[in-house]
Amino acid sequence: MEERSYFVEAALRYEALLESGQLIGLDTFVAQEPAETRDELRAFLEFNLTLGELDEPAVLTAEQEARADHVIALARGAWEHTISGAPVQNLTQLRDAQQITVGRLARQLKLPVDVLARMERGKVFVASVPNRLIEQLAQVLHASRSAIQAALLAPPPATRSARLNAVDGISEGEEQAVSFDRAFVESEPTSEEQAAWATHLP
Amino acid sequence: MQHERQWHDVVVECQERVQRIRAILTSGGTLTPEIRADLEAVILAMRNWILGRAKRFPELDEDAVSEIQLKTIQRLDRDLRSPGFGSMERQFGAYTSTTVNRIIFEFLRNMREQRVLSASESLDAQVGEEGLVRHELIEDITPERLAEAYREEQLHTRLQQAIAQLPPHDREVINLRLQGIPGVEIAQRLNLTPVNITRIYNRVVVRLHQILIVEEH
Repeated sequence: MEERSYFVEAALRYEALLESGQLIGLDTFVAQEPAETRDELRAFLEFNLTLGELDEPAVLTAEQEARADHVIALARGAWEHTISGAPVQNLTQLRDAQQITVGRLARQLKLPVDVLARMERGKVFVASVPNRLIEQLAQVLHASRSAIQAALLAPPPATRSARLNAVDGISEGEEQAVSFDRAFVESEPTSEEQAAWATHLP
Repeated sequence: MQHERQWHDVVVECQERVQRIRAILTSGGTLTPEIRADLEAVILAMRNWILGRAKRFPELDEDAVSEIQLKTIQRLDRDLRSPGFGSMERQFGAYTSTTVNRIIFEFLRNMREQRVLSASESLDAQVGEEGLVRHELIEDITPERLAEAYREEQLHTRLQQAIAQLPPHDREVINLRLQGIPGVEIAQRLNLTPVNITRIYNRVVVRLHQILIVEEH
Protein backbone atom coordinates (compact mmCIF):
# COMPACT_ATOMS: atom_id res chain seq x y z
CA MET A 1 0.00 0.00 0.00
CA GLU A 2 1.20 3.51 -0.78
CA GLU A 3 2.71 5.30 2.21
CA ARG A 4 0.07 8.01 2.57
CA SER A 5 -2.77 5.50 2.25
CA TYR A 6 -1.28 3.40 5.02
CA PHE A 7 -1.21 6.28 7.52
CA VAL A 8 -4.73 7.41 6.62
CA GLU A 9 -6.03 3.85 6.85
CA ALA A 10 -4.27 3.28 10.21
CA ALA A 11 -5.73 6.52 11.60
CA LEU A 12 -9.22 5.49 10.49
CA ARG A 13 -8.77 2.09 12.13
CA TYR A 14 -7.68 3.76 15.38
CA GLU A 15 -10.60 6.19 15.32
CA ALA A 16 -13.02 3.31 14.67
CA LEU A 17 -11.63 1.50 17.75
CA LEU A 18 -12.09 4.60 19.92
CA GLU A 19 -15.56 5.26 18.56
CA SER A 20 -16.56 1.67 19.36
CA GLY A 21 -15.65 2.32 22.99
CA GLN A 22 -12.31 0.48 23.07
CA LEU A 23 -10.10 3.06 24.78
CA ILE A 24 -6.83 1.64 23.52
CA GLY A 25 -3.84 3.90 24.26
CA LEU A 26 -1.92 5.48 21.44
CA ASP A 27 1.28 3.66 22.35
CA THR A 28 -0.47 0.29 22.57
CA PHE A 29 -2.04 0.79 19.16
CA VAL A 30 1.20 1.96 17.57
CA ALA A 31 3.13 -0.97 19.09
CA GLN A 32 0.98 -3.35 17.03
CA GLU A 33 1.95 -1.65 13.75
CA PRO A 34 5.04 -2.36 11.63
CA ALA A 35 8.20 -1.22 13.45
CA GLU A 36 9.40 1.03 10.63
CA THR A 37 6.20 3.08 10.70
CA ARG A 38 5.79 3.55 14.46
CA ASP A 39 7.52 6.90 15.05
CA GLU A 40 5.86 8.50 12.06
CA LEU A 41 2.50 6.93 12.85
CA ARG A 42 2.55 8.07 16.46
CA ALA A 43 3.35 11.64 15.48
CA PHE A 44 0.63 11.64 12.84
CA LEU A 45 -2.05 10.07 15.07
CA GLU A 46 -1.32 12.65 17.74
CA PHE A 47 -1.61 15.45 15.16
CA ASN A 48 -4.81 13.95 13.77
CA LEU A 49 -6.46 13.54 17.18
CA THR A 50 -5.50 17.02 18.29
CA LEU A 51 -7.14 18.52 15.21
CA GLY A 52 -10.26 16.44 15.80
CA GLU A 53 -13.31 16.32 13.60
CA LEU A 54 -13.86 18.31 10.44
CA ASP A 55 -14.12 22.04 10.83
CA GLU A 56 -17.11 23.83 9.50
CA PRO A 57 -16.59 24.60 5.83
CA ALA A 58 -15.03 27.99 5.21
CA VAL A 59 -16.88 30.73 3.41
CA LEU A 60 -14.66 31.53 0.47
CA THR A 61 -13.77 35.01 -0.73
CA ALA A 62 -14.00 35.66 -4.47
CA GLU A 63 -10.23 35.34 -4.76
CA GLN A 64 -10.13 32.07 -2.82
CA GLU A 65 -12.96 30.77 -4.96
CA ALA A 66 -11.07 31.63 -8.14
CA ARG A 67 -7.94 29.88 -6.83
CA ALA A 68 -9.96 26.83 -5.80
CA ASP A 69 -11.66 26.73 -9.21
CA HIS A 70 -8.24 26.77 -10.85
CA VAL A 71 -7.17 23.82 -8.68
CA ILE A 72 -10.33 21.85 -9.44
CA ALA A 73 -10.03 22.54 -13.18
CA LEU A 74 -6.45 21.28 -13.06
CA ALA A 75 -7.38 18.08 -11.25
CA ARG A 76 -10.40 17.55 -13.49
CA GLY A 77 -8.31 18.01 -16.66
CA ALA A 78 -5.74 15.46 -15.48
CA TRP A 79 -8.51 13.09 -14.46
CA GLU A 80 -10.27 13.37 -17.84
CA HIS A 81 -6.97 12.55 -19.54
CA THR A 82 -6.45 9.50 -17.32
CA ILE A 83 -9.92 8.05 -17.84
CA SER A 84 -9.67 8.62 -21.59
CA GLY A 85 -7.12 5.79 -21.54
CA ALA A 86 -4.40 7.91 -23.18
CA PRO A 87 -0.92 7.27 -21.75
CA VAL A 88 0.11 9.71 -19.03
CA GLN A 89 3.56 11.17 -19.62
CA ASN A 90 5.38 13.61 -17.40
CA LEU A 91 6.64 16.93 -18.72
CA THR A 92 10.13 15.59 -19.45
CA GLN A 93 8.71 12.71 -21.48
CA LEU A 94 6.45 15.04 -23.46
CA ARG A 95 9.40 17.33 -24.19
CA ASP A 96 11.70 14.44 -25.12
CA ALA A 97 9.03 13.13 -27.50
CA GLN A 98 9.26 16.44 -29.38
CA GLN A 99 13.09 16.26 -29.29
CA ILE A 100 13.36 19.68 -27.69
CA THR A 101 15.95 20.47 -25.05
CA VAL A 102 14.84 22.05 -21.80
CA GLY A 103 16.78 25.21 -22.71
CA ARG A 104 15.13 25.54 -26.11
CA LEU A 105 11.67 24.96 -24.69
CA ALA A 106 12.33 27.56 -21.98
CA ARG A 107 13.40 30.09 -24.63
CA GLN A 108 10.25 29.43 -26.64
CA LEU A 109 8.15 30.03 -23.54
CA LYS A 110 10.27 33.06 -22.52
CA LEU A 111 10.69 31.32 -19.19
CA PRO A 112 13.92 31.04 -17.14
CA VAL A 113 15.37 27.59 -17.77
CA ASP A 114 15.70 27.03 -14.01
CA VAL A 115 11.96 27.38 -13.60
CA LEU A 116 11.17 24.90 -16.35
CA ALA A 117 13.78 22.43 -15.06
CA ARG A 118 12.38 22.79 -11.55
CA MET A 119 8.88 22.12 -12.85
CA GLU A 120 10.16 18.99 -14.60
CA ARG A 121 11.70 17.83 -11.31
CA GLY A 122 8.29 18.21 -9.66
CA LYS A 123 9.54 20.95 -7.35
CA VAL A 124 7.09 23.67 -8.32
CA PHE A 125 3.59 23.63 -6.77
CA VAL A 126 1.41 22.52 -9.67
CA ALA A 127 -1.55 24.49 -8.33
CA SER A 128 0.47 27.70 -8.79
CA VAL A 129 1.36 27.12 -12.45
CA PRO A 130 -0.45 29.82 -14.49
CA ASN A 131 -3.11 28.75 -16.97
CA ARG A 132 -1.31 30.67 -19.68
CA LEU A 133 1.78 28.51 -19.24
CA ILE A 134 -0.33 25.34 -19.45
CA GLU A 135 -1.83 26.59 -22.71
CA GLN A 136 1.57 27.51 -24.15
CA LEU A 137 3.06 24.16 -23.16
CA ALA A 138 0.16 22.41 -24.90
CA GLN A 139 0.80 24.43 -28.04
CA VAL A 140 4.58 23.97 -28.15
CA LEU A 141 4.53 20.30 -27.16
CA HIS A 142 1.61 19.48 -29.51
CA ALA A 143 -0.40 18.03 -26.68
CA SER A 144 -3.88 18.63 -25.34
CA ARG A 145 -4.43 20.90 -22.38
CA SER A 146 -5.53 17.91 -20.29
CA ALA A 147 -2.37 15.99 -21.28
CA ILE A 148 -0.29 18.89 -19.91
CA GLN A 149 -2.36 18.99 -16.72
CA ALA A 150 -1.85 15.24 -16.31
CA ALA A 151 1.87 15.65 -17.08
CA LEU A 152 2.29 18.27 -14.37
CA LEU A 153 0.71 15.92 -11.85
CA ALA A 154 2.53 12.80 -13.05
CA PRO A 155 5.56 11.56 -11.08
CA PRO A 156 8.75 13.31 -12.29
CA PRO A 157 11.73 11.32 -13.59
CA ALA A 158 13.46 9.42 -10.77
CA THR A 159 16.49 11.26 -9.42
CA ARG A 160 18.73 10.96 -6.42
CA SER A 161 17.05 12.57 -3.44
CA ALA A 162 20.33 14.08 -2.23
CA ARG A 163 22.20 16.42 -4.56
CA LEU A 164 25.72 17.76 -4.49
CA ASN A 165 26.34 21.44 -4.03
CA ALA A 166 28.04 22.72 -7.19
CA VAL A 167 30.39 24.99 -5.21
CA ASP A 168 31.87 22.78 -2.51
CA GLY A 169 30.58 19.29 -3.33
CA ILE A 170 28.83 18.97 0.03
CA SER A 171 25.63 17.01 -0.28
CA GLU A 172 22.50 19.12 -0.11
CA GLY A 173 19.14 18.11 1.28
CA GLU A 174 16.17 17.34 -0.89
CA GLU A 175 15.06 20.27 -2.98
CA GLN A 176 12.08 22.15 -1.58
CA ALA A 177 8.96 22.50 -3.69
CA VAL A 178 8.00 26.15 -4.09
CA SER A 179 5.33 28.19 -5.85
CA PHE A 180 5.74 29.22 -9.47
CA ASP A 181 6.20 32.85 -8.39
CA ARG A 182 9.00 32.00 -6.01
CA ALA A 183 10.72 29.66 -8.47
CA PHE A 184 10.55 32.47 -11.03
CA VAL A 185 12.05 35.09 -8.70
CA GLU A 186 14.78 32.70 -7.46
CA SER A 187 15.80 31.94 -11.05
CA GLU A 188 17.02 35.54 -11.58
CA PRO A 189 15.01 36.11 -14.78
CA THR A 190 16.16 38.37 -17.58
CA SER A 191 14.21 41.56 -18.20
CA GLU A 192 12.60 39.92 -21.25
CA GLU A 193 11.44 36.93 -19.20
CA GLN A 194 10.29 39.24 -16.44
CA ALA A 195 8.22 41.25 -18.94
CA ALA A 196 6.74 38.10 -20.49
CA TRP A 197 5.39 36.81 -17.16
CA ALA A 198 4.94 40.03 -15.21
CA THR A 199 1.16 39.79 -15.16
CA HIS A 200 1.36 36.39 -13.44
CA LEU A 201 3.69 37.52 -10.69
CA PRO A 202 2.71 39.30 -7.47
CA MET B 1 -26.42 24.97 15.78
CA GLN B 2 -28.31 25.41 12.53
CA HIS B 3 -24.99 25.67 10.68
CA GLU B 4 -23.71 22.52 12.40
CA ARG B 5 -26.74 20.51 11.31
CA GLN B 6 -26.36 21.68 7.71
CA TRP B 7 -22.71 20.70 7.78
CA HIS B 8 -23.58 17.21 9.05
CA ASP B 9 -26.20 16.90 6.29
CA VAL B 10 -23.56 17.66 3.68
CA VAL B 11 -21.30 14.93 5.10
CA VAL B 12 -24.15 12.41 4.91
CA GLU B 13 -25.04 13.52 1.39
CA CYS B 14 -21.40 13.22 0.27
CA GLN B 15 -21.20 9.76 1.80
CA GLU B 16 -24.17 8.62 -0.27
CA ARG B 17 -22.63 10.10 -3.40
CA VAL B 18 -19.31 8.36 -2.62
CA GLN B 19 -21.12 5.03 -2.35
CA ARG B 20 -22.64 5.53 -5.81
CA ILE B 21 -19.32 6.62 -7.35
CA ARG B 22 -17.38 3.72 -5.85
CA ALA B 23 -20.02 1.21 -6.97
CA ILE B 24 -19.18 2.25 -10.55
CA LEU B 25 -15.44 2.93 -10.33
CA THR B 26 -14.45 -0.19 -8.38
CA SER B 27 -16.41 -2.48 -10.68
CA GLY B 28 -14.95 -1.15 -13.94
CA GLY B 29 -18.21 0.53 -14.99
CA THR B 30 -18.39 3.68 -17.12
CA LEU B 31 -19.11 7.11 -15.73
CA THR B 32 -22.59 8.40 -16.37
CA PRO B 33 -23.41 12.13 -16.23
CA GLU B 34 -25.11 11.48 -12.87
CA ILE B 35 -21.97 9.94 -11.39
CA ARG B 36 -19.90 12.82 -12.73
CA ALA B 37 -22.31 15.22 -11.03
CA ASP B 38 -21.86 13.24 -7.79
CA LEU B 39 -18.09 13.57 -8.09
CA GLU B 40 -18.28 17.32 -8.75
CA ALA B 41 -20.52 17.79 -5.71
CA VAL B 42 -18.15 15.85 -3.44
CA ILE B 43 -15.14 17.82 -4.67
CA LEU B 44 -16.93 21.14 -4.16
CA ALA B 45 -17.87 20.21 -0.59
CA MET B 46 -14.30 19.10 0.19
CA ARG B 47 -12.86 22.31 -1.25
CA ASN B 48 -14.42 24.41 1.52
CA TRP B 49 -13.56 21.96 4.28
CA ILE B 50 -9.93 21.93 3.24
CA LEU B 51 -9.79 25.69 3.40
CA GLY B 52 -11.49 25.69 6.81
CA ARG B 53 -8.89 23.31 8.17
CA ALA B 54 -5.90 24.95 6.52
CA LYS B 55 -6.89 28.28 8.13
CA ARG B 56 -5.79 26.80 11.45
CA PHE B 57 -2.21 26.84 10.21
CA PRO B 58 -1.12 30.44 9.64
CA GLU B 59 2.26 29.26 8.30
CA LEU B 60 0.50 27.86 5.21
CA ASP B 61 0.27 30.60 2.59
CA GLU B 62 -2.28 30.67 -0.23
CA ASP B 63 -0.04 28.73 -2.62
CA ALA B 64 0.48 26.02 -0.02
CA VAL B 65 -3.27 25.79 0.63
CA SER B 66 -3.97 25.47 -3.10
CA GLU B 67 -1.38 22.71 -3.35
CA ILE B 68 -2.98 20.92 -0.39
CA GLN B 69 -6.37 21.20 -2.11
CA LEU B 70 -4.90 19.73 -5.28
CA LYS B 71 -3.20 16.84 -3.47
CA THR B 72 -6.40 16.06 -1.57
CA ILE B 73 -8.49 15.94 -4.75
CA GLN B 74 -5.87 13.70 -6.39
CA ARG B 75 -5.96 11.48 -3.32
CA LEU B 76 -9.75 11.34 -3.43
CA ASP B 77 -9.63 10.36 -7.08
CA ARG B 78 -7.27 7.45 -6.30
CA ASP B 79 -9.10 6.27 -3.20
CA LEU B 80 -12.47 6.29 -4.97
CA ARG B 81 -11.07 3.67 -7.34
CA SER B 82 -9.31 1.65 -4.66
CA PRO B 83 -11.22 -1.48 -3.57
CA GLY B 84 -9.27 -1.37 -0.28
CA PHE B 85 -10.74 1.98 0.74
CA GLY B 86 -14.28 0.86 1.49
CA SER B 87 -14.14 2.66 4.86
CA MET B 88 -14.68 6.00 3.07
CA GLU B 89 -18.22 4.84 2.26
CA ARG B 90 -19.00 4.45 5.95
CA GLN B 91 -16.82 7.14 7.55
CA PHE B 92 -16.62 9.82 4.89
CA GLY B 93 -16.25 12.66 7.42
CA ALA B 94 -13.39 10.87 9.19
CA TYR B 95 -11.83 9.90 5.84
CA THR B 96 -11.85 13.52 4.66
CA SER B 97 -10.44 15.03 7.83
CA THR B 98 -7.78 12.32 8.18
CA THR B 99 -6.70 12.60 4.55
CA VAL B 100 -6.46 16.40 4.69
CA ASN B 101 -4.65 16.16 8.04
CA ARG B 102 -2.16 13.71 6.57
CA ILE B 103 -1.40 15.97 3.62
CA ILE B 104 -1.07 19.02 5.89
CA PHE B 105 1.13 16.99 8.28
CA GLU B 106 3.51 16.06 5.44
CA PHE B 107 3.50 19.62 4.15
CA LEU B 108 4.39 21.10 7.55
CA ARG B 109 7.06 18.46 8.14
CA ASN B 110 8.72 19.29 4.81
CA MET B 111 8.60 22.99 5.64
CA ARG B 112 10.20 22.37 9.05
CA GLU B 113 12.89 20.11 7.59
CA GLN B 114 13.76 22.84 5.12
CA ARG B 115 13.99 25.37 7.94
CA VAL B 116 16.33 23.06 9.87
CA LEU B 117 18.46 22.60 6.77
CA SER B 118 18.74 26.31 6.19
CA ALA B 119 19.45 26.85 9.87
CA SER B 120 22.36 24.39 9.74
CA GLU B 121 24.26 26.24 7.01
CA SER B 122 27.86 27.10 7.76
CA LEU B 123 28.58 30.34 9.60
CA ASP B 124 31.72 30.68 7.48
CA ALA B 125 29.81 30.58 4.19
CA GLN B 126 30.03 33.74 2.12
CA VAL B 127 26.72 35.45 1.52
CA GLY B 128 25.66 38.37 -0.64
CA GLU B 129 27.64 40.31 -3.20
CA GLU B 130 29.84 41.96 -0.57
CA GLY B 131 31.58 38.65 0.15
CA LEU B 132 30.80 38.85 3.87
CA VAL B 133 30.79 35.63 5.86
CA ARG B 134 27.53 34.74 7.56
CA HIS B 135 28.74 35.11 11.17
CA GLU B 136 29.66 38.74 10.50
CA LEU B 137 26.04 39.44 9.66
CA ILE B 138 24.62 38.05 12.89
CA GLU B 139 23.33 40.91 15.00
CA ASP B 140 24.25 41.49 18.60
CA ILE B 141 21.51 41.77 21.19
CA THR B 142 19.85 45.10 20.53
CA PRO B 143 17.35 47.09 22.65
CA GLU B 144 14.65 46.02 20.13
CA ARG B 145 15.43 42.35 20.67
CA LEU B 146 15.42 42.80 24.43
CA ALA B 147 12.04 44.53 24.15
CA GLU B 148 10.72 41.63 22.07
CA ALA B 149 11.90 39.11 24.68
CA TYR B 150 10.22 41.21 27.38
CA ARG B 151 6.94 41.27 25.41
CA GLU B 152 7.08 37.48 25.05
CA GLU B 153 7.59 37.08 28.78
CA GLN B 154 4.65 39.42 29.48
CA LEU B 155 2.45 37.43 27.11
CA HIS B 156 3.40 34.21 28.88
CA THR B 157 2.44 35.72 32.24
CA ARG B 158 -0.90 36.97 30.86
CA LEU B 159 -1.60 33.52 29.42
CA GLN B 160 -0.99 31.90 32.81
CA GLN B 161 -3.33 34.44 34.43
CA ALA B 162 -5.99 33.74 31.78
CA ILE B 163 -5.70 29.99 32.40
CA ALA B 164 -6.21 30.61 36.10
CA GLN B 165 -9.61 32.19 35.27
CA LEU B 166 -10.87 29.01 33.57
CA PRO B 167 -13.16 26.46 35.27
CA PRO B 168 -11.13 23.76 37.08
CA HIS B 169 -11.95 21.03 34.53
CA ASP B 170 -10.95 23.14 31.52
CA ARG B 171 -7.83 24.30 33.37
CA GLU B 172 -6.84 20.71 33.98
CA VAL B 173 -7.19 19.81 30.28
CA ILE B 174 -5.24 22.81 29.01
CA ASN B 175 -2.47 22.39 31.61
CA LEU B 176 -2.04 18.73 30.68
CA ARG B 177 -1.94 19.64 26.97
CA LEU B 178 0.65 22.35 27.66
CA GLN B 179 2.78 19.73 29.41
CA GLY B 180 2.82 17.86 26.09
CA ILE B 181 0.61 15.00 27.26
CA PRO B 182 -1.22 13.41 24.29
CA GLY B 183 -4.99 13.93 24.00
CA VAL B 184 -5.61 10.19 24.23
CA GLU B 185 -3.72 9.93 27.52
CA ILE B 186 -5.62 12.93 28.94
CA ALA B 187 -8.85 11.21 27.90
CA GLN B 188 -7.82 8.10 29.82
CA ARG B 189 -6.82 10.10 32.91
CA LEU B 190 -10.06 12.10 32.98
CA ASN B 191 -12.25 9.21 31.86
CA LEU B 192 -13.44 11.01 28.73
CA THR B 193 -13.27 10.20 25.02
CA PRO B 194 -10.45 11.74 22.92
CA VAL B 195 -13.08 13.49 20.81
CA ASN B 196 -14.42 15.20 23.95
CA ILE B 197 -10.91 16.24 24.92
CA THR B 198 -10.44 17.80 21.47
CA ARG B 199 -13.74 19.68 21.84
CA ILE B 200 -12.81 20.96 25.31
CA TYR B 201 -9.36 21.95 24.07
CA ASN B 202 -10.75 23.86 21.08
CA ARG B 203 -13.33 25.61 23.28
CA VAL B 204 -10.66 26.56 25.83
CA VAL B 205 -8.38 27.98 23.15
CA VAL B 206 -11.23 30.22 21.93
CA ARG B 207 -12.00 31.27 25.52
CA LEU B 208 -8.35 32.10 26.24
CA HIS B 209 -8.21 34.11 23.05
CA GLN B 210 -11.28 36.08 24.16
CA ILE B 211 -9.81 36.74 27.62
CA LEU B 212 -6.54 37.97 26.16
CA ILE B 213 -8.28 40.18 23.58
CA VAL B 214 -10.53 41.76 26.25
CA GLU B 215 -7.45 42.44 28.39
CA GLU B 216 -5.76 44.21 25.47
CA HIS B 217 -8.66 46.64 25.19
